[in-house]
Amino acid sequence: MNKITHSLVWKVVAIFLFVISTMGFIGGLIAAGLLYENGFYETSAENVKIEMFEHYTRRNANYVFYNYFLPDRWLNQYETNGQIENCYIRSTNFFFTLKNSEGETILSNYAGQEFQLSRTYEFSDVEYIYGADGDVVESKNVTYTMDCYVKKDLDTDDFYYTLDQFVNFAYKMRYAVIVIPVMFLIFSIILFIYLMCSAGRRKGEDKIIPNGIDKIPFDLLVTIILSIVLLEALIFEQMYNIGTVGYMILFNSFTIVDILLALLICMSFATRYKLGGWWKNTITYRIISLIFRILRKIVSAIKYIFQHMSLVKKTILVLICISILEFMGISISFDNGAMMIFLWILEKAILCPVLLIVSINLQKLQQGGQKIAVGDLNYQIDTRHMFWDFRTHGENLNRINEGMSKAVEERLKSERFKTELITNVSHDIKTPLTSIINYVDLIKKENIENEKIKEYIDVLDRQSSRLKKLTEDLVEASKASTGNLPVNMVPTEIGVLFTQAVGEYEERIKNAGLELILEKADEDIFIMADGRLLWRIFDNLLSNICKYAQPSTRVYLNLEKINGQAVITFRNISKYALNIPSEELLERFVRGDRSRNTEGSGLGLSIAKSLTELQNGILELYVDGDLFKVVLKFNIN
Amino acid sequence: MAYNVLICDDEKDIVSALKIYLSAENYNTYEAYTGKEALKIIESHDIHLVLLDIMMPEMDGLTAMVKLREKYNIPVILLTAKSEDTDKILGLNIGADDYITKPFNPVEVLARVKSQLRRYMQLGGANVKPSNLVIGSIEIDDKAKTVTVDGEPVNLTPKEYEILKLLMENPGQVFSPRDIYKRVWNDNPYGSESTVAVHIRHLREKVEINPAEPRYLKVVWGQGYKIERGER
Repeated sequence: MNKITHSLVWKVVAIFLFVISTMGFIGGLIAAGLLYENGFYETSAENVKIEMFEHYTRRNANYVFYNYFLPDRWLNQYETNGQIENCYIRSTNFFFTLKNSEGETILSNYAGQEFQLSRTYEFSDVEYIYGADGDVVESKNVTYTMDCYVKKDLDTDDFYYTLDQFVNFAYKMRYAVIVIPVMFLIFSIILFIYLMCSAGRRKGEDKIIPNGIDKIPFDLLVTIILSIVLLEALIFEQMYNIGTVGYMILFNSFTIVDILLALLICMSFATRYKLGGWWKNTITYRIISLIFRILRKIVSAIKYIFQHMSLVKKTILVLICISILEFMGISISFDNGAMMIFLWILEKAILCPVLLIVSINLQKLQQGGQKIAVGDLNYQIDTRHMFWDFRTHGENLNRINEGMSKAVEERLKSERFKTELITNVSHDIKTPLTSIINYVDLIKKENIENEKIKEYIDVLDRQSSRLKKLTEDLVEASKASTGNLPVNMVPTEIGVLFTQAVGEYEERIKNAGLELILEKADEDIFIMADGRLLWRIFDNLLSNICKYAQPSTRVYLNLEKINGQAVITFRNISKYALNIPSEELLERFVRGDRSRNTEGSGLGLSIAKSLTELQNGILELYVDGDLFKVVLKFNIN
Repeated sequence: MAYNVLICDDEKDIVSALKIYLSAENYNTYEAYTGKEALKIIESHDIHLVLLDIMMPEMDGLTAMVKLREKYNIPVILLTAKSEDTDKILGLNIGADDYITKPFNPVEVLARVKSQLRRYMQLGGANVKPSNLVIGSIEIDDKAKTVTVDGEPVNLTPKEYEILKLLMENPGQVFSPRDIYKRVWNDNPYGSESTVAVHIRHLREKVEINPAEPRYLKVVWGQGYKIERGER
């Protein structure tokens, strides 16, 4: 099959055969049409013959009357009035007898022969009577009758004879005339299919290869070919006087050309179709796609401009557009109230949803912003139904929140890691520390006479217990500051805690040479707190006071209710000059004094602050000269 | 009779130090450095008390204690560097009798060892009079108006005695300083509740081994005071 479709020879042969076959089909079709026109398929051969003979006889009668009789009569009207012998008419199968209005025979070649068809026709003419001076005196209508006969035995080889022969033959062939074009048609179709299949194929090539014609834009090709066909039609129209044979030659050659051209279009189309996207190689497509490209460029340019425009400019632009539209609407409907109302409603119907969507978007952004501001780091604004700047803004907010939650997570993780590290390290420190403390104790129990060694051991004893306190405080401080402590908040009466704290510290305060002055509201003040943690705050603060307050001074402890808050104040006079800002006092490892000889880790204040915050309280520190003041504030339950 | 105490810690210096302290108090000491060794010694000797470190190689203290508890009822005191409450609770829940955090005070260790041994050896309290109030190792003889802790008499002032009695009569119940004042002093406090707090502190110092970490006389901060039945 490939051999056939890829062979140029076969193709040329097929084209040749196709032209012939199609011509045959057209010819057959025309013949069949003519036969049908003449009633071959409806009546008998005799009837067809009679009809055709009638037609021809009429023509002959006209011919005789107008071509022989009238010119003769005009020429010889005054001289001749008898029978005219005419050689043209005598040797045919056609006979006639021409009579004037009085029934007199004027002209005849009929001598009583047998006939198969007779017809009588009337002819009218005008006769003029001239006066002496040659002017027309009188005119009168004259009627002639002509009896025409067709000879029964058509023995003369004239047109009747040929017609008779032809009709007899055509009548016999009248069904064959239908079958032949059908066969031609089938053959043509087969050839056509073959040609379509082989279009674009070449010897030794697997791919479809377009030829020069296939590269011409398809619609241009069609236009060219249609122009050729139109030109042919014009030529055909101009050539009406070239005679029947010329006509036939012209017709046939044009038909062949047309068939070839049609085949060309079809084959080219087939090639293009096989190549795919046949419409792409058309001027129309190119123009349309060019227009589309330009439009797309324009749209994207507008988009680009719009995207890079500030929101204010955009708003101004939109407002200008709306204003122009409104103005146009008012101008159109200036004298038409109903129209104006309709336009107004239309405008509102379009603008209201748009404004609603804008406000919904803004609301979503607002809510999201609020959530983020409050610290809901998991909140994500739903930007799926947002558009333009709102969407960008929402996505930005989401990104900020993601970044923040990531940062917080990282921080928590690192804090937890830090706490864990500190806890583990302090555990590791505790084991050797246990040995140190125990052996120092054992040494102390030995009988030592050397005073210096006793003194040194005292230092060891003091410092080892300080180290012990330091490790404990370190763990606590890291846990408290990272919130890594269980907090069990219950309603707690601060007054009771006050009493308990004072009871615990009464003796130590006395030993430190201090006087404790307690000022407490009469009513019970309940706050939400974890008693154990609250005690640790008090413990740290009171122990600081014992350590760092100037002996022989008073220590004031106040409990008041101010603006719905329980306010606890610790006041004392510092033993050492407090030349550091109060913020720094709270920092870890920074102590009110700079001496490193006293016990304690210096973490007390920092732990107290962290624990206060864990219970939603506030710890404030005030330093005024030597006056040291710590204020705790808790919301009253 | 000298009691046999097993000291188990992977730190040799700590074991030696404890050995010195306990020997000074006439206890027979055995040494182990892992949980497995401890179990072996318990199997082969008549041990009366175990001091057990938690973090040890091979077998840690908690595992060793679980195994030990399958067969023995002897008192176990845990020694550990972990001071978190959750660790304490875990240790006590799986069968420890007491808990000492490192770095410990040798005096406290001795006191706790003594207390546990006394409770264990005098199990059932045969000499406890029915009229006596007993909570853990604290015992009040209301007739003689005497108080003993681990069998040792404790000197209390009358008010301290009254407070202790009140709390022991209502174990687990929290009394606010005001309540205690009203019940013991039979008067309204008018701002002198801190007297109660001072008394309680003194009482704790006398009754408890470690007053900062009381086993019985507990402070409920911001609410009051209560007596709890021992930690087991």
